[in-house]
Amino acid sequence: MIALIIFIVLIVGVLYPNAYTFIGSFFPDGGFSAGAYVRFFSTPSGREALTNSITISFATVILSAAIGVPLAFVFHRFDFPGRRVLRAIASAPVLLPPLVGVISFLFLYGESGIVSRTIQNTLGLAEPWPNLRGIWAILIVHAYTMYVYFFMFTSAGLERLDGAMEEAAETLGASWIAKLTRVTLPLLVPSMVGAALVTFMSSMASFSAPYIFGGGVRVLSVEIFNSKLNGNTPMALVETVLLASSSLAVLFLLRWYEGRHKYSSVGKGVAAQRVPITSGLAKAVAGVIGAGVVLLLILPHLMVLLMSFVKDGTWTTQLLPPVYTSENYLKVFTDPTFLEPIQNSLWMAGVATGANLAWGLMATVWLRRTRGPLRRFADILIVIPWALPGTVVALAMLESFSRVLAGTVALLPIVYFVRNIPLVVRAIDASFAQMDPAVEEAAATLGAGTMYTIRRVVLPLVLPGALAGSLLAFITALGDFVSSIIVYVYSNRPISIEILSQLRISNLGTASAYAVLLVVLIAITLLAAERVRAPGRDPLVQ
Amino acid sequence: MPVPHLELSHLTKQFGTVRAVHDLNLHVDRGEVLSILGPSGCGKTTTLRMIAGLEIPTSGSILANQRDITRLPARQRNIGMVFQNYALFPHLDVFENIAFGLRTRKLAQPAVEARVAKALKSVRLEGFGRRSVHQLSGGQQQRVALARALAIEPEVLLLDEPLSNLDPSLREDLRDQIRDVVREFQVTTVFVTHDQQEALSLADRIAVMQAGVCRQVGKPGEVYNKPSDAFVARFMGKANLMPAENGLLFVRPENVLVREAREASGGTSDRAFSATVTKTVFEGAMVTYTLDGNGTTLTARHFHSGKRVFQPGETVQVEIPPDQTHVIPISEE
Ligand SMILES: Nc1ncnc2c1ncn2[C@@H]1O[C@H](COP(=O)(O)OP(=O)(O)OP(=O)(O)O)[C@@H](O)[C@H]1O
Ligand SMILES: [Mg+2]
Repeated sequence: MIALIIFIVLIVGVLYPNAYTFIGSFFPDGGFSAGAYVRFFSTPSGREALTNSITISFATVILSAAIGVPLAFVFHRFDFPGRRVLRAIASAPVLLPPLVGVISFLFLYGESGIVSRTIQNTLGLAEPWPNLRGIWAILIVHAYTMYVYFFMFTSAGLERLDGAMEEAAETLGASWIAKLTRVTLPLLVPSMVGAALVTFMSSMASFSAPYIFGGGVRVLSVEIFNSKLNGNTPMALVETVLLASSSLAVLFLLRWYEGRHKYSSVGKGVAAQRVPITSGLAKAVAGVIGAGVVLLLILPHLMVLLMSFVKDGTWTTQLLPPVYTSENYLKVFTDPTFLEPIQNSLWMAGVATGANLAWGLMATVWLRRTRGPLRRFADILIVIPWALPGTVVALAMLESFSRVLAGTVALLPIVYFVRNIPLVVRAIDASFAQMDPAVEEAAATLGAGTMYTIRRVVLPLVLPGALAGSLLAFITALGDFVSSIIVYVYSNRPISIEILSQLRISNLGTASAYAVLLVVLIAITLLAAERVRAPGRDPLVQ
Repeated sequence: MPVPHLELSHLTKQFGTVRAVHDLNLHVDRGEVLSILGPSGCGKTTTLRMIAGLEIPTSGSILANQRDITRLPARQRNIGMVFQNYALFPHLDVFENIAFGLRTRKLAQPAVEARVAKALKSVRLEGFGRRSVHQLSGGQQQRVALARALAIEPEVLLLDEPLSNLDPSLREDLRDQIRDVVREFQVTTVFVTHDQQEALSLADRIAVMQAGVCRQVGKPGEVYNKPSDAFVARFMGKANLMPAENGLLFVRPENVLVREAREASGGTSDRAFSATVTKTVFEGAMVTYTLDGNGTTLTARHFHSGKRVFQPGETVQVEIPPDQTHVIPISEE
């Protein structure tokens, strides 16, 4: 019975739409043919979109690594004033949903951006600078939002690294460079591969940056949307299959590489020592650099906050917006038409996440008790939505449900649900892994039946972690733009879609008020997630 | 002979190609404390888990009160178990941990409180009921686990290396407590350990296992002094094993008497022979000698109180009283 529910969800939500899309791409006009593929590859724009997507993603990985890895080392190896605060701020980009990040960069570094104009005025340039657009704009937005993956993965890797190993290398006569290249970096390979994987996939999937900031640069994720918009469904299917397969190819490649470079530490670890920065000059330099980095990191947040108080239609050619008002917020909260997107986002993300939690718990409990091919099948289906870009999942579902759900308010929350299946299941799985399996056996020896054990022992232990994971899913659903733009209908338009509509009619202030609201909601949810994972609730200290 | 309370017959457990337990036959009488002793990986935990119902035997059967419980689910067995890492419920306080098994039995609240109080008292943790289990020391956690298993008034109590996670200084104290509690409840007990001291001091009978096979079952004195094979002899403590015509001559080092060579004239016995000290290890109260007598190496261990400590190179007089020896028949080993 439970297995039935689990598989119905996986087959209807994951297998069917993707199979439909894949097969559909070979039946462009009813009969089997590879014609749509031929058409795609014979146009220069098609080939361009494919190569752009891949090139941008590789460049993003390199750029993000170049920022994130050294930063992680600095925080891990040195102790300096303000270290903890700075560390927290280093993850600031996480607070910005993709669309919000993009528009704040537009306001800051675009053609009429505040920074661009300030630099133009101070240096007396003829043109605004940096005046971001095209590939560079996309790359810089990507680097800002995605370096966090490298930062976090490398930090975690360094944290796990046994300090004694480096000390051992030192006693064996290794210089610092040898220590770095022969000991530390090789041991960090799994972390870096993990980060590269997530960055590459996110970059392939990225939609907001190229769509809004790309200035006509073709990438697959946007082309899919455009083909769909132009009514060229066969082409959209082909592009979807190509985007999905190139993402999957890289996924398998990196996983394979990762598998060959797995190390597990033997013996108990020793934490590495942090070098305190003590000299006055060094402190001053570190302080200045630190302040600069902080500013760079939170400028986007400040920018949308500022813009949210700007009266719509007043900022044209001035350096700074001239007129400020609180009416944007007032409007958003009191006018029912403006309030609706907020309500929509909240209920859709809420329902989807609730379903994720309930289904995830059920699936995990069942999967843990099951072995064999059925389980492997379920495992694969569960990760698929993670490996596929949001555009792909959304389009596949829109197309495959075109006869039943498309055009109804129900489809978007279902898409949110399907996209978050992997995230929530993984969080619940991790929660289970932390639980000492012997407690279930202890309950059995004390006379507890399966249901009683689940209710009184397993759920109380697993729920905090599961809830924290679900809250993260709630955040991604709340901030989603990619899949929303493909499957929304007017009556369930979420916040991100409303932001876009307001931008279209140049209501920068209103758009920013929504953006700030989104950021605040996300921050609150993140805090709540930290809270439920409260200390003292972890599995028994061994 | 009384009817055994618990009986394992031809019990075998196979994990893939690993034979964790092989053709094990054991019985435990009512109220008896049986220890399963053996080196790491010999199948002790597996045996215990099969008795508890957490593992289903590949073949063989388990009888409790002559009823076949081989395939009965754990929760229906009424067998209390103390896990190696205690497996306390981290989200419940001490009281609720102990009450857990009573609540599954749907006992009324007053009865639950009375039983928990009794269990807490017997492990000397009165007043700890509302503590979180995180706030307990290892020894206290261990006692809560014991109280939890005893509160359900189990048919049989199983203990998996109950002392192995504790400081050596705590061990002895807790060992005595466990003995008192088990005697107080008069519960049939099987406990597993790899520490022969623990087994010798706690158990009524000891089963020595090696690589999934039971080598010997007997009273502590028997297993220590009359081992059935060389493995048991060595596992229970230091042993001298010398080739003899019908097997191996076994004698514990404390039974190898060492005297000044001069005293030999006393004509004490013809079994006395002289040997050379090759090594002397001074251990505080005791001293251990390695001796070489006509090419056979022997170990002797004694309290040296007041006596002179022999140095390497000295010649001494050695005697092995015949009633302290035991012949191990040559086995397939
Ligand atoms: N679930 C399992 N799957 C496969 N092999 C197992 C499993 N449980 C135990 N074994 C194997 O069975 C053998 C006996 O294991 P068992 O845990 O019973 O040993 P033990 O005597 O309790 O050891 P220790 O003193 O280290 O706790 C070991 O070789 C072990 O690797
Ligand atoms: Mg064990």
